[in-house]
Amino acid sequence: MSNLGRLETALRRDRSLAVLDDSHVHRATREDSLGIIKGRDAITAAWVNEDASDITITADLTDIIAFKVKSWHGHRWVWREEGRILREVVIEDRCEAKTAQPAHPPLGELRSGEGQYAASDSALLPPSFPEAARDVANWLHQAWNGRTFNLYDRAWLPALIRQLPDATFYFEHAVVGEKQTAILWRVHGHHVGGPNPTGQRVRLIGSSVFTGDADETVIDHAAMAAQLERRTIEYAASC
Amino acid sequence: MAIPNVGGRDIAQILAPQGARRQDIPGFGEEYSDIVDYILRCTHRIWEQKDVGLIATHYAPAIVVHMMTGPVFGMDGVIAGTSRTLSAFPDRTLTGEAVIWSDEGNGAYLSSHRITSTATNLGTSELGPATGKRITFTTIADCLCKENLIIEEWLVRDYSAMALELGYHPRAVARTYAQTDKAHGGRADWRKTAMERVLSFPETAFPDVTLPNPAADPHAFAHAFFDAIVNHRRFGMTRDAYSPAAHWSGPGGRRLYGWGEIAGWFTALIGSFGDARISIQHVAAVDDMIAVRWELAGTHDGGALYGAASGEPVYILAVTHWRIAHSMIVDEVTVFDEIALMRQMEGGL
Repeated sequence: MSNLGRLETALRRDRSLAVLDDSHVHRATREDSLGIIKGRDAITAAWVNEDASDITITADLTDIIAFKVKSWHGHRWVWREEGRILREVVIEDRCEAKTAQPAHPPLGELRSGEGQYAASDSALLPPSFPEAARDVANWLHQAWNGRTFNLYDRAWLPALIRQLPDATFYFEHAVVGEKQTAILWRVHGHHVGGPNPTGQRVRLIGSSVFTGDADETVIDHAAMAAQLERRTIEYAASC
Repeated sequence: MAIPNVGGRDIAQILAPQGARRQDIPGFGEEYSDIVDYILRCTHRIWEQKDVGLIATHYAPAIVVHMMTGPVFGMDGVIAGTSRTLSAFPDRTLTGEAVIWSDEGNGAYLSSHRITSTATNLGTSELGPATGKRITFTTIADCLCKENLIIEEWLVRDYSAMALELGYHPRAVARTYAQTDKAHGGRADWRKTAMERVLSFPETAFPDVTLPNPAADPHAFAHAFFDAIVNHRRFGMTRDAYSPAAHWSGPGGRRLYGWGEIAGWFTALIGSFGDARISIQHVAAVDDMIAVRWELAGTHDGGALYGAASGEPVYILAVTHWRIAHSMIVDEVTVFDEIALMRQMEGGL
């Protein structure tokens, strides 16, 4: 098990929160689909709210782990600085309601500068994206952004796109292991589909760990529900 | 000898005695090893250790602190302001995220210090009565330092994010201040002078070129970036400047991701201030980081960001920090005071 797997176990099962003093740098941040918290103190405070629970590490690629707690799945991605965690991105699909803080009105478009062009064959990837993960990203881009559903036959995908018809998937980062490839991605879309459209822009972080063609994919469904109900910050003079 | 920055060091390492001088900084206290150490350590001593009186040995008597609410003159004003803020937020921590500095010659250094603060609002603040809430906000302090003294400072803080977290309405706070301003005679001379300064810069030729490489020439990149993307409205060139996976943080605690949202910010900025011009005051670059201090002058003639057009002339003082990787911006933090901006829209300042 990697350091990250041991850390997750120490925090969840043993509740040894003091390990955060060594594992995280003081200015570490944690981001999920509802926002960001800043500082090791704030991350520690968030862990205080967790109850002790057994945990199973289902995938361990050193800088990203997948785990199962009770009946729900989570993925944790980390970026380190001199060995300590500087940034973590957490995706937890827990069956409990969440609240989203008010957000500013959305800015800009989802497919920058593409206008009427159809989705291209290859994904738009940051330069740091690992070469060995590009084929997987291109495949997912064709299936997800190109709506080639037969390339990726999972029920969650059309279910999500029915609610967010312009859903656009962005591939942010990847880690390639011996037998597995993990992809960190985001999806932005407008809630104009489904039975009760709110018009809200939904912004979610997703994570997929591929073992061959099989994947464990996690998105935070509670965060999506919370975003549909969130209040918009209003700066207008009439307020 | 290399001068370590914030990156790669935990707070205990940053605040531990640094030993012998790593940088020739004549006139600075012996306890400071280099300009980065000076900024981080004196911030800790003054703010976190509450030795506010040390301002007397770290600020010039005739210091000018430039903010979007106007300049503050003199060290006594700095001590009074620090004491007021610490009364409102006694446990404020000031986590240094970056110290992007430049050698200005003659023993002077410019430090652009980005700070994440967490604090509990236990006393009356500039935004209203105590709320008891714990908030997190970003400040960037650009300090011109010489011989252990800060001789000029440009201070930007994300006041609208603070107000939102405290449960105050930024526009309502701005309106209250503006009413007082109007009772004292309306637009201040300092703001007229600042706007004239921005608008007096000659217009540039249409930038029909690619952007310089920010890693190779950060100064040229910063100037070309604001000239092309803002002053010439080539919002699509955000795709040349930013990584497609770039993260952007801005005033009001806004957080954007990727090309579409970031281009949307610049579009909305001009959608709010249609005749806006930006001029750059200062650029500093260290390691993979660039700091740009800039000013904007324009007319609030559109409703993109701040409600229906007020027709008021507006002035923005902002600092932008970029992190560069693979010759692209991968992280941006831009800070300016939106409450001061809306105060102008309400006829104040």
